[in-house]
Amino acid sequence: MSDATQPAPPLLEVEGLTVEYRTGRAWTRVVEDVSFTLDRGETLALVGESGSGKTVSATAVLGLVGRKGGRIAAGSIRFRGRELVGLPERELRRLRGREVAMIFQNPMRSLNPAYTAGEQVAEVARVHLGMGRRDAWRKAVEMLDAVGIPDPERRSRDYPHQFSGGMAQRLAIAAALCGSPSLLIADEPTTALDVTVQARVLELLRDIQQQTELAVLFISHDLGVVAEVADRVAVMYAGEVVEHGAIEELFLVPRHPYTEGLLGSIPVLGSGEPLRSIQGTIPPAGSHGAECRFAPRCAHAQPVACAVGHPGLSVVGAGRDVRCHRATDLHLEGIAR
Amino acid sequence: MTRYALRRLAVALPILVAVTFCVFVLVDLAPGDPAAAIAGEHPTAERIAEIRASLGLDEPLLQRYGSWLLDALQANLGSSLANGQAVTDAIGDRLPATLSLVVVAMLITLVVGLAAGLVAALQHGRAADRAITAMASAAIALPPFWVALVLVMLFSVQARWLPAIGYQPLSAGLWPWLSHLILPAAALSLLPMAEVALQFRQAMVTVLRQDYITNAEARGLTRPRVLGKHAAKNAAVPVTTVFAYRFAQVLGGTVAIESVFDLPGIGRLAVTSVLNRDIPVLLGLVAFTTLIVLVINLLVDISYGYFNPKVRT
Repeated sequence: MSDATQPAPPLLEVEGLTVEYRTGRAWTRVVEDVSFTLDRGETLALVGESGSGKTVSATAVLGLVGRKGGRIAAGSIRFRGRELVGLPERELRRLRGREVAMIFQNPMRSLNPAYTAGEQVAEVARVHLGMGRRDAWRKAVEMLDAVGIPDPERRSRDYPHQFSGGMAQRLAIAAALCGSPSLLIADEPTTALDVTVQARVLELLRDIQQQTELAVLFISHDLGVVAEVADRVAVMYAGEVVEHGAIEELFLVPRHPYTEGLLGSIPVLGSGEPLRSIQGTIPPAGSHGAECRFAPRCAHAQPVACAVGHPGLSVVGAGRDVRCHRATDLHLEGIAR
Repeated sequence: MTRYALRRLAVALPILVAVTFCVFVLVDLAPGDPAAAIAGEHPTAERIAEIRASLGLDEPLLQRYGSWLLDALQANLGSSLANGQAVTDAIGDRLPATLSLVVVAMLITLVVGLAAGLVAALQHGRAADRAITAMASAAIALPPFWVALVLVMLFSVQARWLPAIGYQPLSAGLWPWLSHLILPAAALSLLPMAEVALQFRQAMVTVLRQDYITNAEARGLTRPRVLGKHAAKNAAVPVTTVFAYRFAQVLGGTVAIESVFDLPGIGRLAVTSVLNRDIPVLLGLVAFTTLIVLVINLLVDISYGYFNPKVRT
């Protein structure tokens, strides 16, 4: 099927993804026209406030929006060149946990309290790798060891509540990676952890990535954490991607006022400057008119230009897109990494 | 796990002693004199005193309880005042009918209750959910003996599908045995079934919203596996609580239901022993049913440790 002269498709290609959720009798758009790509070994960060649609975009990749009462209204999600939208549930199941895995914000809540650590990992080995009980258990102990859980033999028989937050997240990572997926969706994986533990979990993810060429879709509201892990960043606001680019460029020269605002809210030690915050809150889904969705909170908004038309995502450089009417005439303030 | 079970057992024993002691005192306080009942019509005061002495009724209360308890611990519950049969034998004779009734009733409770609860939870907020919830709420309000009479009217008197009264032992064949139990068991299980359904529905609705369920889905597990393994084990705790609590009531309910359906069980024995002031039989029955309820509660406590590992420590 694939032509030798053609370059291999990227691992993950999301194009024009639009997701709607049912509210009463109507459907509300929570994600609109979101596009991004991800290659093997690469980390793309989806950044934005809660309610910006980053988690919904990620669950769409797993084909789980239907479970949560939503639907993919438009767009395509291709994994290794294969279209996932409209794929039957049975095919999607074979993908989940095997090709695409996910870890969650709070490991204590995402691990089943009624089953042992070993069982949660071994189950993946049984279901996806077709292993017998004994082999699966051995594999589980190996996985616990690989993610740096000390004394894995003994700990495999413990329950999640007997683990600390950091160790529990390692356990969740072990379960996610047990099927050797090529894409890991990490939904705020360090947000619920202590700062020192955060750093070690991020380090673990980086190590695993180097060893296995794992692609990571990293969802976070924290640009400080993103700076540690991401190659590229897609900034999301009110269900749309508003800026996209390589991390260095985006940090040094942000092109969207919202990105500038997010960067300004990262504390810089010894800068002496007060922390800036973005005034206002994200507008609720479905309330958007034909204006720029960020305009009401934007420090650079112009009364006529920004209130009238909805800006499209325009290319402003290699791998650099911005959704702003004033993308060409604004000079925004970034920070050095 | 073993230590947890032993600890629960240590709590159960004093309860058994306390319950039987309370009943002992209550029977003692109740009006009426068993010796007078035995002595027949127009007895002399001497004759009554004689019988009292032979039954040990003239000894102080604590002493009587003490010797009863000592005997009871050796599985000797005394003998009936009415016909002299050993109480353990009397209970043993009546046990199969009651046991059959309770087991069938509890099976119906679990199978129908859990199925209805699961359907309601999966259809949460939709028509099927509303229908099941409404029916369960109505079922809770219906008294079992009335349900029993209605069932007899419908299925025995009018449709003639099932016998209205009587009992056949299991040795007489599965269908003769079961056909006599369906109606009484259905009447007895209606209330616990409705409660199990409501509890399981609520627990499943809550559990299905948890991150670990999304996570199980994200790992590519099949729907039956997610529901049956990951969700059900977490939703089981409130259900076992209701089940155990209602089990004691079902046991108590046999008193009325066995009378309606003329089943020769422990419930009927209890009624006769009260009417005859047959104190040894009554005490024996109380001790026996208390023991059963305690054993069930113990099993439920142990099951908590299985369903929710956090309570073990």
